[in-house]
Amino acid sequence: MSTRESAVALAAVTQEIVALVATELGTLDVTPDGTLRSWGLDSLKVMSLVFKLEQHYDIVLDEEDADDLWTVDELAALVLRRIEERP
Amino acid sequence: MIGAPAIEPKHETLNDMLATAAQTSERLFFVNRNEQDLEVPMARIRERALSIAADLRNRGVRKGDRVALVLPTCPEFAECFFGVLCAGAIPAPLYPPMRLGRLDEYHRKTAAMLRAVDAAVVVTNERIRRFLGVAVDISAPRLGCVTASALGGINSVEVEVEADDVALIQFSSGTTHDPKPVALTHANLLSNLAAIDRYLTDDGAPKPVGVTWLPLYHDMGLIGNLLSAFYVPSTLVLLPPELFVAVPAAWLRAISRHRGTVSAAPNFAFSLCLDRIRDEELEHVDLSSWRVILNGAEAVTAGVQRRFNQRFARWGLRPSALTPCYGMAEASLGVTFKPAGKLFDTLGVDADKLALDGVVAPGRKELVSVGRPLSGVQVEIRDATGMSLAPGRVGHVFLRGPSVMVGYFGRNDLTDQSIHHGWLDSGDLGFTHDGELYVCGRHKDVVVVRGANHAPEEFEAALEGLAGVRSGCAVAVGFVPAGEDGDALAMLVETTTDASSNLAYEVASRVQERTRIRPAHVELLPPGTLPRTSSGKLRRREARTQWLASTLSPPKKVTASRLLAAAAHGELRHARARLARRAANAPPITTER
Repeated sequence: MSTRESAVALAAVTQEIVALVATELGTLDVTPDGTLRSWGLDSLKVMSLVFKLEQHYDIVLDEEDADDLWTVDELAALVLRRIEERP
Repeated sequence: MIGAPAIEPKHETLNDMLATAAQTSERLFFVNRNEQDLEVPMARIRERALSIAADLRNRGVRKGDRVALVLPTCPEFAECFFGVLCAGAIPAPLYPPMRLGRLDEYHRKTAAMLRAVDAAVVVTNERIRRFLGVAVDISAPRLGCVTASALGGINSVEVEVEADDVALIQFSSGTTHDPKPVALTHANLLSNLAAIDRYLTDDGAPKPVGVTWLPLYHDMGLIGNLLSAFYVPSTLVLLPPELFVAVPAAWLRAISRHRGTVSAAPNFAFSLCLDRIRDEELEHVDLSSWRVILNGAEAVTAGVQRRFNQRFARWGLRPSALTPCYGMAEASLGVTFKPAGKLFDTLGVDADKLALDGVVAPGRKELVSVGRPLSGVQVEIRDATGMSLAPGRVGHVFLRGPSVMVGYFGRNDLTDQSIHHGWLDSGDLGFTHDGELYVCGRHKDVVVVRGANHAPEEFEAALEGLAGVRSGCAVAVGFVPAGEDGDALAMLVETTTDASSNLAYEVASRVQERTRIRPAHVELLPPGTLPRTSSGKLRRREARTQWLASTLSPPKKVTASRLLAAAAHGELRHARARLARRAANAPPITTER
């Protein structure tokens, strides 16, 4: 992917994730730079979100991915990275 | 209260049970993430188990060794579980890491559990193995860590075991902060399995078909579903827990597809179904086969059950199927179940009289009966001095029977605290009424959130060093938020004078960040408000009772007393907010201390 394509893909993935997180929380108040935890995304909702991301993008998220993951933006970047690594 | 006489189990050991089940054509169905079923005959599970046993022996596993299993819901779990038993060793299932979870916490807790059972070897899969390195390094099991797929071969072994040998160590008791290794013998487990079997198959009920999404490292999933299926023996359908959490309709669709008759879940799961399932997800679904819907592992609420019945009646759900139940890992699993065939019972009680005087009087707080003792189980309500109490009086729930554990593995200290002359102190408070048990709280400090026990210390410790919180002056308690159906966490926190106006939010975020559980309520309190013992220790249960009764008040001579007078006039909410603001911002509050 070119840089430009990547940027477009990232924006699209970010939008989709914002929508997924919003559904998970039942609120519209979700922004790309907001932190996942600040919305009360607890372990059950995280489990559900991970499942949906993996199904939707056909990727696998890892346990070790969590450590520097705070915002929807960062989650989107991670998802895109996994999509690009897809065999 | 006493159940029917204990039933002589059909088998001496779980190994015998497996051998008998393997003679039948019964099978397990593993549902994948796309809701496709993978069929695995019980005969095949045994065949694999015997070859895994041979391999484990070959690798140096000895009779009585503990083997930790860290596996998701998959055929390998069942194969390795029984493989360990056939090798004469003791399986100890541990929970796998959570995706996007906190790994440092996971490493620490897993290492603690491996050490608690002094595991000889850890059996896992390729994926999870990568995350076990730290815990395995710290706890150094004698034979290291192997993957399930690497186990097996052409040899088969079955080591002779006895009914009184330990057959399982489960960690579903205790708390995530201080896991307690519950040791159960073959006889303990089989006695409970026999009682559950009698309940399920009594009165000419059709042969059970189980459906479950409960994790297999938890007693309800492992004993109530997996082992129960081998005992009967009967078909069992297993869904990955994350499939249920993300797509709750998949649970009901699996019940419909397989004509499931029995399925269990904690109270929150029924709430999740009500909130998340859309009608169109249930096209062609038929729930009329579902005879027993066990609701246990956390407080059972009447509202959720009624709404569940109402909502899913259209799909053939029978109202009498919902079966509130009560049990614990220390008693293998099941203790009391609602009697079959009738609607669940509730009782309206006066909440204040119940909490303060321990007396059951008519009132508006609705409690759900968790039913009558299973065969072989005896339940007694006792006061603080150990005297047996009459029906209608709240006391400690004690129980006795052949399914009660031999003790906590390697922890005589804990065992002595819990078992007195053969009677197990459940740690719960309850009363009996009309021959049925009602559970109304804990006398041990435990916060239950979605079926998992948490020590209050883990939430309280999360606040260490947070500016605005008086060091060591916070308590974590469980409560049911108004209008909600399940237990939630509340933090009652004394503040310092330099607390920011945003402190309640900061407290909630900090607790969530450290523990993955967000408090549903944060109460900010002036210094000295929380009740303490004479030695200065915080009294959590008293704090909770006072908070719920709105009688938590700062010590005398506090300048905020004016605000409390206002509270007494019904302006409680405003008063609390003002108290919080005052505590947070401003003028120093004088206390006696």
